[in-house]
Amino acid sequence: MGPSWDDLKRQLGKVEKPARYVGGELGAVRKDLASVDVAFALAFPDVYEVGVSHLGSLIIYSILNSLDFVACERVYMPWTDMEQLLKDKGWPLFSIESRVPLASFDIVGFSLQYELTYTNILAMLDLGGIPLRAEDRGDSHPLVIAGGPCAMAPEPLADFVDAFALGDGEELVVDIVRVYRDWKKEGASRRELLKRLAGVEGVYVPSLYEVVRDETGTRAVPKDLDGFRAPPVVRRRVLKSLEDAPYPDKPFIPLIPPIHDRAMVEIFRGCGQGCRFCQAGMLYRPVREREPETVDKLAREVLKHSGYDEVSLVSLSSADYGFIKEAVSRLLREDPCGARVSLPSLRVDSFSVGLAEMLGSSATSGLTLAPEAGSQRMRDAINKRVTEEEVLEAAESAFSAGYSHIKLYFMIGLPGEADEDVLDIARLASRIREIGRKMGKRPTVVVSVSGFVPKPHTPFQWEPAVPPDELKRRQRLLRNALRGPGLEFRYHDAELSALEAVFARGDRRLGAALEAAFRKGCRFDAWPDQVRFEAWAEAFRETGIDPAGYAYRERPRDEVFPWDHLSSGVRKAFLWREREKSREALTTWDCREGRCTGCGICGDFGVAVRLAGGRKGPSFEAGR
Amino acid sequence: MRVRAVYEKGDRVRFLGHLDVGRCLKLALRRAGWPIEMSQGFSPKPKISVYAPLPVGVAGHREYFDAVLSGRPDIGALARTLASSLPEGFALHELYPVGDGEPPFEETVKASLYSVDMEGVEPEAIRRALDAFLKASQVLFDVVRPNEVKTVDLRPFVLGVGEPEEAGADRVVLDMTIAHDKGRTVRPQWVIASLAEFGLNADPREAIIDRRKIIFE
Repeated sequence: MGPSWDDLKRQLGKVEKPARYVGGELGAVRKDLASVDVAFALAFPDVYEVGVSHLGSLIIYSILNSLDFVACERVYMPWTDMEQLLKDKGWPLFSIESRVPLASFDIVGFSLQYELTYTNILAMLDLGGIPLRAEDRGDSHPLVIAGGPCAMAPEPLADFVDAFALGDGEELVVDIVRVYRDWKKEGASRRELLKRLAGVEGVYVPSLYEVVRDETGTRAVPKDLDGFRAPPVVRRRVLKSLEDAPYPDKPFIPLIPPIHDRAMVEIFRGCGQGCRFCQAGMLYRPVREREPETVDKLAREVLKHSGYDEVSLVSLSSADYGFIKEAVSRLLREDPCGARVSLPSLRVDSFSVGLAEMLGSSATSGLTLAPEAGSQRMRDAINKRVTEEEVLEAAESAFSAGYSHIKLYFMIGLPGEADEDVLDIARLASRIREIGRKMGKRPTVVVSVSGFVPKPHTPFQWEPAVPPDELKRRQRLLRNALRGPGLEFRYHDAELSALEAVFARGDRRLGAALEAAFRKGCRFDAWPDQVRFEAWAEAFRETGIDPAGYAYRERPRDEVFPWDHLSSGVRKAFLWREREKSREALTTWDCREGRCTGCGICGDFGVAVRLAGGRKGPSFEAGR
Repeated sequence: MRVRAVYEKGDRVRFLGHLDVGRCLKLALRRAGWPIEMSQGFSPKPKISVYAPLPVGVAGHREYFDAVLSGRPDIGALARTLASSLPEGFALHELYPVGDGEPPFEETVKASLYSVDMEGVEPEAIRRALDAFLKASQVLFDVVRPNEVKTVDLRPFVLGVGEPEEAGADRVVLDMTIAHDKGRTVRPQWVIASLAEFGLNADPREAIIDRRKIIFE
């Protein structure tokens, strides 16, 4: 059993932010676990404040708890001090709501948002009293599943997870718990459960596949199990319409501030911009918008329920929403909702700056724009379809709207990047500063730079990452070019990007290195003050893994990837075409502009771009 | 109109810090729809004052906050809406209007009465340590903060301690009255920690501390 409240409260004074482990949030659901068919632990492999801000988890939590045969409780990765306390006291990792051990749930479902949380997943299983490896788990152990973007290239976790859930979770998670309930009632074997799950569209059961490695690459092939074979390709689940999907209008409200401390409404899913580095832009196609009336209604409901004084209209590129001005204007002017409105992602153009101004985001808080690359050649290569003139116009509108602090996001280490491209970042930042000065401001231009990491299912999946030493040289180059008043430089840890690059395109062999790193105490690898690169280097050495082969190797065109049996709906041929266009610095349009780009999803998956207000989306063109 | 609420920061929310409590109350007041006045200036804030901060881990049975409201809404209705909007662990005990002539709240606070609940200590051992503490002319204690270590004399703040009482096997509960001096006070945990100097072997982090009430002039 987990600790009693009396025992727990006598110990929590020893850890940082003990409220992380206590629950009691307004709107949290607590059912009697013994009276439901399926007890589901929704596990987030990062700290509480990060996990409670994750919209996808809120959606799944609310859908599962709306089913009367399911109880869904939450568990987050304990901070290192709490992990030590659990070990000292001999307590298992327990759920927030009912304080029961992770091992006592029927299903443990992890959210896979980021590769650098993988050691936390092993730590949570271990602390929860669940055998790490799927093959060591028996009938008395929970089914361990995982969903989220990293589930689309999950081989490094394949030894530890029983089943991966690919794509939109709204319907898929319901299918999974139904299959589980029926199986449990029959009392069939665990192998039988896995086979049945493999029959659900969007579920990938790695133990039913054999990994074949040859000169063409690494492929997962369904095993022949007495005549049963899992599907050779597992297709991601795609919601046809977001408008008809359930939305958590009464989310739980944490008692300590989450990293995103505001109400959220998802205004559309998917993104049509087609930036070639962006995994989300490829993985969540097609664009599906909510109707503006629904957005407005949901915003007011979440605000009323939560008491928040700010609502964020979230998506991958909120300025692209067909009714963005109308939605904002209705919430702020025509029928004021009494709260501020914020948009998490703006485009680099005057329209977006105009929106920011409309939101009344205060001039002191500054404005963030993401040109992503400094030179036109690189922006064309990554399909960030914005010209230097548009960037400068956006900056000018920002200064004239009263902003004096502009933050610019860039990536370095992009495929084909030369030193001139890096230096162009500094040149662009200086030009923006000059515009500010000419307009009589004392501008601050912050240049924030991260290292590019090639991701699966993107046009850059064949490309090498740039090794840390070279990335650091480019950082220095940029830093030296960015000296001067009003220019600030910030950058991400190059070694962290390297570790991410290994796991992003990893195969099943990496599981051994992951486990070794976990055994050496690696946790919170995404946290620069926690990650232990020496331990990771040892783990790779001991398990005979050459990380460079994963991160810095350019793949040939016909290489078979360890994720090729998992289909996002975007065809590999389209991705390759985009990669070739990138080399020639040719851009590709957004299919919402009316013409199909031939990525393949609408035809292959029987879905369509859904634009709000009855606007017509592109027609799928089979020939593209 | 200024109103004062007497509320409970209960057992279940004892691990919230002062700012967390303020945030929870603000969200609850917005849910309750109280017509709270906003401050003037660049970034207007609701006029709410949460008094006499409690540290993380300490519950409070009768805590206080003020809110400034526009108009003169009905107190009974305000109390009802707030009571039903508070998260689990909080409770509203009293709500009443406060006149403009009242002195600032913090100036009227004289002391806090705490109960301290400890496990694994003998009542006799704690009695002896407390006696020695009370006989000392000063008890210097280093308060360790992220960027500084500040030494405070705990002795003058401890106005009195009650008789340690056994509360079940291996558990002792005692009262402790700690002074407030123009907003300055000390934490009961520090007093427990300082008892090590007087021979008590107890982990102050394992003490369960509740502020039972605030004592006014």
